Amino acid sequence: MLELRDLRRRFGDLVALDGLSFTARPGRLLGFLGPNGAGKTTAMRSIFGIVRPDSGTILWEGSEIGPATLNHFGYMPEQRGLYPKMKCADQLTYFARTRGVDRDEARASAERWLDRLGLAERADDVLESLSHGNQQRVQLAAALVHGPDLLVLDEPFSGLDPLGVASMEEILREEAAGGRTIIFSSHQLDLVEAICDDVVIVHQGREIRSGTLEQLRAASDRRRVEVSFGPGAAPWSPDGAAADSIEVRNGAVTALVGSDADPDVLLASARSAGDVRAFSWTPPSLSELFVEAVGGAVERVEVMG
Amino acid sequence: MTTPSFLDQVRLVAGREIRERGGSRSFKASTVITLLIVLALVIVPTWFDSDDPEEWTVAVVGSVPDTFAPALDAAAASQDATVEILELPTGSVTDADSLDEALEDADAVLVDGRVVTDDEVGAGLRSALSAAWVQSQLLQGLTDSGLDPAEAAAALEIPPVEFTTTDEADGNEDSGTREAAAFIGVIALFVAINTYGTWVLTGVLEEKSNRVVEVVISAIAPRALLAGKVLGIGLLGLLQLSVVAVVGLATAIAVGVTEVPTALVPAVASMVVWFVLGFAFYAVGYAAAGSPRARRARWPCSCSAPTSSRCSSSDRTPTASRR
Repeated sequence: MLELRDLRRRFGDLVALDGLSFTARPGRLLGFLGPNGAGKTTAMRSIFGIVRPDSGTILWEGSEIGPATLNHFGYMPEQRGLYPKMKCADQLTYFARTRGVDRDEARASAERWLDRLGLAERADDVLESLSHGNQQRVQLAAALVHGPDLLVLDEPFSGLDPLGVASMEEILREEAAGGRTIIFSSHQLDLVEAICDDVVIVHQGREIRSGTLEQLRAASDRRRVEVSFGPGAAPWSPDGAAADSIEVRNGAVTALVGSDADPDVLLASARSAGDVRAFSWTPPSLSELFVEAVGGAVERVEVMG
Repeated sequence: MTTPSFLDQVRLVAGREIRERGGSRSFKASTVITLLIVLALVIVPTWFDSDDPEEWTVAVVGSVPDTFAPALDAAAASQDATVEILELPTGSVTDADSLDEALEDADAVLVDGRVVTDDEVGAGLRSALSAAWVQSQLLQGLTDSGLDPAEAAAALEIPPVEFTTTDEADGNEDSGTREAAAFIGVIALFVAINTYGTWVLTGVLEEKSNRVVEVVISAIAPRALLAGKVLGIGLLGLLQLSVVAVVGLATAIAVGVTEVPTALVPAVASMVVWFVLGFAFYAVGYAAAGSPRARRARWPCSCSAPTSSRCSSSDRTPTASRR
């Protein structure tokens, strides 16, 4: 179990971490979300001692992190972090050995991972001759080659094609099922929603939502209503109940309404407008939760970069 | 899985530098190119500075004293030259045409006590001819005035004056070689330290720019990374330098440019020491200049970390200044 407690870090006048706390548990995939500049990368780097927090504590299995502990961690930085002119297998062997795996075992593990990622034939090719997606696979292998208990991945899905996304997803699931603690950041919220067990949303250096995906969705005071109409229906929108985000597309109306609205009343009102083919009443999606949590501030932060 | 010690980490990093860099095409190419340059520097001058004995041909018109020919031979020999004497009958050279004809076969023509050449005569031939002329005339004069020829010859048996310098008097007979070795050594050191120091700098910058350092630093202490890099590149540099030095020296001895390797041994030995010290100093400086990220303290996660509001000035003590 990894615990971050009240991390603070300033870069000059910029506050990167402002009392960030959260916990990641073994066997679970934690999605670490937040707008650009929220402090995700700084938090991840501080787990590995690459950035030194001004204050706060990071605990692994209840104790502070030292060199011996770090060897049980794997890190995949957002930008590629490999030697461009080194052969893939040599590279992975080297990274495993820096973490204390002995030579033969490191070599075997490197080959095993390349094989598992479908790169066995590229083992003796230099990294820079590989495509972007394959380099990303090698980067993932570099984080996993020493069999870490904690895996931290900064934007592992960025720049991958759908097949790459699927194989990355599969590996993350398998590794989590094997009992590892996994944290990853991503802006692809649909993807996070599909694979994560737990979610932490950070904004301006502190967590504003955290818990299991179900908890987060259930805790929202909004509900998503979706109604599909048959041909010839009159224009309809949920009235009252503070409806917003109303969209009309292909004869279907979706909207977010307050959780205190009565779905029976909404359905009755929709029926009066026309032939209702489908009606759904669900908690909001993760991206709706995210927008709700981060609010209008996102735009400002995005502009500031 | 055990935690690698600091020395294990240094060894791993140094090993990677040596394998990857030493096996790279650019390292092999730079070794070959340096070797070619050194070989060219040693060998090419010998083509222009030939030690082969010079050969002179001197035509002598009419009779000269019998002692002239041996005197000229001796004078030529003292200048590492051999001389061939063509005897032309008296009266065979009377005008410009016949003179030119005689000069076809000879470098100089001695006629009626004059030496005629078609070009400016070389200093060696000039002094040999003068010496032989004076000696033979002197002998002739002494014999003419009644001295026994053998006695006259003995009287002219003068040992040449010897030239020496104070250095040689002190027993430093090879000071020239040593000065040359020191001069070449200083240039080689400068080039080597700069070259290999730049390797360290570019290596650090590369790791930093492609972020590989984030992965490495998450496992290896920054100091071990720095030490391993400097050590690996230093050993590789020393190897390259030794290969070039040994091949260069062997070639120099083989082609006879230098003969006294014993004089070079202390110079080469001190060069190695200075290379190690100089490289260590400048390489660490280069690395520190290239890697502000690697200079940060390693263990960040304690509650007692300083809470100073300015982030950088207090915790970025440059590695270089801590030595």
